[in-house]
Amino acid sequence: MPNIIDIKNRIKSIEDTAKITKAMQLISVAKMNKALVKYENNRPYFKKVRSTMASILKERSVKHRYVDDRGGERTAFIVIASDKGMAGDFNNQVLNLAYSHIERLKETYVFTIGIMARDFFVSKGINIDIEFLHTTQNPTMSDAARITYDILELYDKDLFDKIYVVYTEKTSVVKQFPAMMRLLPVSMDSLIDEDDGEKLFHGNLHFEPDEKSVLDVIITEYLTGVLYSTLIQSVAAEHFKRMTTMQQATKNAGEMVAELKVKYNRARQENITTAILEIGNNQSGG
Amino acid sequence: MYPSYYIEIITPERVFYRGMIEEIIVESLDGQLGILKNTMPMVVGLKAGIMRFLDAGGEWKEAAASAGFAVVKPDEVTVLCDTVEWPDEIELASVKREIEKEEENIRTRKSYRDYLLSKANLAKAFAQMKLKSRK
Repeated sequence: MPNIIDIKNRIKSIEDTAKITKAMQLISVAKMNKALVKYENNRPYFKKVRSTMASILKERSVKHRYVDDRGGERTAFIVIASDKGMAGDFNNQVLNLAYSHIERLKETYVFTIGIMARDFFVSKGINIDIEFLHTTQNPTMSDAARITYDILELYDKDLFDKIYVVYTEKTSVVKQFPAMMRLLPVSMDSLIDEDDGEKLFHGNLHFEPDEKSVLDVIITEYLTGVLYSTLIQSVAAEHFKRMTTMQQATKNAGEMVAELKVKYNRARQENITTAILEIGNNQSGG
Repeated sequence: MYPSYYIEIITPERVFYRGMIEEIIVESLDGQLGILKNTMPMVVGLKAGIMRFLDAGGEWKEAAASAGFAVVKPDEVTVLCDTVEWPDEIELASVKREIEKEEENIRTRKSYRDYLLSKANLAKAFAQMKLKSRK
């Protein structure tokens, strides 16, 4: 026979947990709404900057140190995860995508954004080359600019041949998936999405004042903008995932409590029945 | 009056302006550059400075922009910058504080990267101050 007090304690503890998950859900809703506003504001830029870069690099044989392929296989990865867990498989998905690529390459560099990313690679025994801190909560343009200058400096020093960013792409409010995009050298395939609906400009573009100085400015701007976008998308995706996870947890807790309450009532009734029977027995016996 | 064309001025944080204009004068790497409809297709590198454009209603509008770039097509111009701000969005006091802070950062720079970042921020702040104090 189940113990009434045990069941009561379990109900209490589940209810307490549900209170926490409910609170976390509400907080994520607020944070997600904030992140979504930033995301919506950034979306036109993200589309435009990529289609514009594609128009510039198309057809014309543009020569630039950030466009030319160096031919080597030394690869750097910027991995964007979050600072906190409790967001379902949000961190795992993006980290495993990065890991699957890092694992099979010989020479890699890993730059992490977010404490979860750092812990993940440490536990896998992979050296982290740079940790970018304080960027996951509320990413700003200057965070993105700092990262851009850092990677350009390292790229100029010829430490690696390619650099990718691994992040969570958010294509709509509810649609999100881990993705990988090549930042350097800038390539056409990382610029074009079929469903973007942005049309490219066909024709020759003149560079004012000249190709090199224009591309120097453009590529720095492009990288800053794209990195900002990936940070913004990852943050919005994180809060969205945490919200749905916590919603599910709260719902599960409710179901468990309902089940336990049935058990509790049954146990209570059983106890009463036994007690009455005992009284009856005692009376007839006495 | 010039024939008007479509322009988009977009920053990572917002769509700053979308609409028909007659002319825009931007701060290119070489100096000021005016763009009319049917200008030769080109890519222009922009440095921080004041951006002026004549909208289809015949009114000149001004804004302070950071570094960026513009793509000129015969009937459409796209301007992509880190930040672009209207004069009434700029607070002179905070811009001055920003300038002091960045000048200090340049003096005590910790790395070449910090130096470049501060230089870029400083250029943006100067453009904002110039726009604001002209009003």
